[in-house]
Amino acid sequence: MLLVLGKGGVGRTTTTALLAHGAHAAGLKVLVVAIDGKSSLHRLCPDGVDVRSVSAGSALEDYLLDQGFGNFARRLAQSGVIEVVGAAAPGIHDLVVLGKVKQFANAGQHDVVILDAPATGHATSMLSSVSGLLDIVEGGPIREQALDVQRLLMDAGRCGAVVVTKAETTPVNESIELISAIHSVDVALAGAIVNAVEPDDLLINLSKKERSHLPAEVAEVIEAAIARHQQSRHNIGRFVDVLGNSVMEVEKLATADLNRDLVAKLSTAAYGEPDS
Amino acid sequence: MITDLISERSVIVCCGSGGVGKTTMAASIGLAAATLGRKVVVITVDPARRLGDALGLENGLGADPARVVLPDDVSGELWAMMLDPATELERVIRTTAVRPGQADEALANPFTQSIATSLGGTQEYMATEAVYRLTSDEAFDLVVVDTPPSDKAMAVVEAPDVLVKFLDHQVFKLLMGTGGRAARLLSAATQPLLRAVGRVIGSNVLNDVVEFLRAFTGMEASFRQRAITVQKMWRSDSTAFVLVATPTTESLNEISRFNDELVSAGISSTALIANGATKEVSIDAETSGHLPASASEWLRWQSDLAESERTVLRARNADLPEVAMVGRLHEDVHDVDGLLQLADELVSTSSREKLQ
Repeated sequence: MLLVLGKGGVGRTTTTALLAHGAHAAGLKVLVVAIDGKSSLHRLCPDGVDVRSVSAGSALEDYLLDQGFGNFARRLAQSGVIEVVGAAAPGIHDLVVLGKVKQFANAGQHDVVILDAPATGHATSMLSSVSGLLDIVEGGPIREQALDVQRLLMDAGRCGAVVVTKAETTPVNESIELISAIHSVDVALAGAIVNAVEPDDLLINLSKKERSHLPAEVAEVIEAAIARHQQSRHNIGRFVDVLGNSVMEVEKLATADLNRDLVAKLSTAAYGEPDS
Repeated sequence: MITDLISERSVIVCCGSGGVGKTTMAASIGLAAATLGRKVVVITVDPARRLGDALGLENGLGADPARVVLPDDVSGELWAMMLDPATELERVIRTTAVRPGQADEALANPFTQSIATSLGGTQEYMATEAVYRLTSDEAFDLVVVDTPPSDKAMAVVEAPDVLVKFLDHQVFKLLMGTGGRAARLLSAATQPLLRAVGRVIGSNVLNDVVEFLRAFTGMEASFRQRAITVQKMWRSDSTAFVLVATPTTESLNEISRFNDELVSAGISSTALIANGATKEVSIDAETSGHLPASASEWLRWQSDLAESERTVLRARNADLPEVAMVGRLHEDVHDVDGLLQLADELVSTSSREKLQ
């Protein structure tokens, strides 16, 4: 099981799809799980990869149904009353969502389950909700569920986090914080990706002399790109300082309209041809 | 379009997914309004704490509005605050209590504080209480709301509806019950529905919840009245919902889904800010021919990207409002000067839609 984590807007969904392409090309049976119905994974993942969506509300309902609460489950979930009661045990929603993902992972129908997790702030509270609940709830089905989920999350052989960032200052800062949050809940780090790196390498080749001879309207754009490039390199360097050489860069394509084929292309660039 | 909003409306709600620059946009909308002479307060509900950074407030933001130091030529005022659900809840309880000692009792309940921070929907509800309070405050004539990322933003919009629904719900009435404390706990524990809840969460916890709700007895009417006021305010002509997205298919699909939810809640959005747009570079063939190969290759990359962004913006869902494009910055905005530049761009004609 891979948990794809990162701040909002860094491309977690694209990365999830990219990993799915890579695993699928390697011949693995892949399940991708989105939380709260992000439909774009269907659009970005290759045919043959299963995509499922788990919503916090329905996961709780399902859980209560599984526990034999019958129609009460639906009434409780819909009325908002369970929310009030849930305040006593914060994280109950997160737990049932992770419980659902755990079910998929344990069902054995897939070689790898990739979770497109919620944005950073929520994802870390999601991971810590399990131990939080274990502190509060002393017995019963919720505790059993929490223990089960915790076993899976902490099993470094089966579960790992993939941290995604962009090469900008704030996302890198937050990703570095995220990595220590992941360590603190004893989840293994399976990989780190800097997404949407502009192909600014082109510009390093420009000599000082060439730069000084550019027409004014071009110079403005090029100098801005070079400044951005230097800042990006600096930020990626800070990320690598924390993580070592396990950091993988994914290039930003000159498009605002990513699709399945383009993600496949990025995946091949990252992982090589399927046969190799 | 944006200029009209910031000069006329009394509430502007900025909505968008995480990472699209919503907080920075909220701050620059507030600043743009201040340059028009308005007295503006920006409230951020997003716990990410970036608003304080963007405004250059060294000590960060507090639960009360702090005045932002602006250049002398700005005639209006800009204030900023960050929602602190626990503080807001205490404020609400103190102003709503119907008998002496009730506020202290309610606040002493161990649940009250944990509920403010951990009960799903409470933070969003407290945001509406805070916005209500700021709009009633004569010190301000524009309230700009920086909402949490879009899934939670809808919870802010719907928080008053949820509260009213909850107050009307049979289970709430059942929990509140009648008679003395012992009778109430007893009756709560014997109801099948509540027994079911108790089996999941433990019956001691259930009793604590009953005690918590009891501490609020008599305040319901006042809570309901404010909730209804906010319900109407979201839908009034003096409120504008501004959507923020990046110019990509992914982000536009997300904001379109959010917009659909707004529409089903009876709210129409007024503007869409496409933040982080790539600058178009148009260079004639002759100039291009004389450039070093790597420079012209880079320019082609950038203009392909810019063109692709404009294409997806043109192809956006027809239900989305008019677009204002804001160019990508080199680095995060972290002071008032940076925000002023952004505010200029936001209101300038050059940022208006030029997609046709």
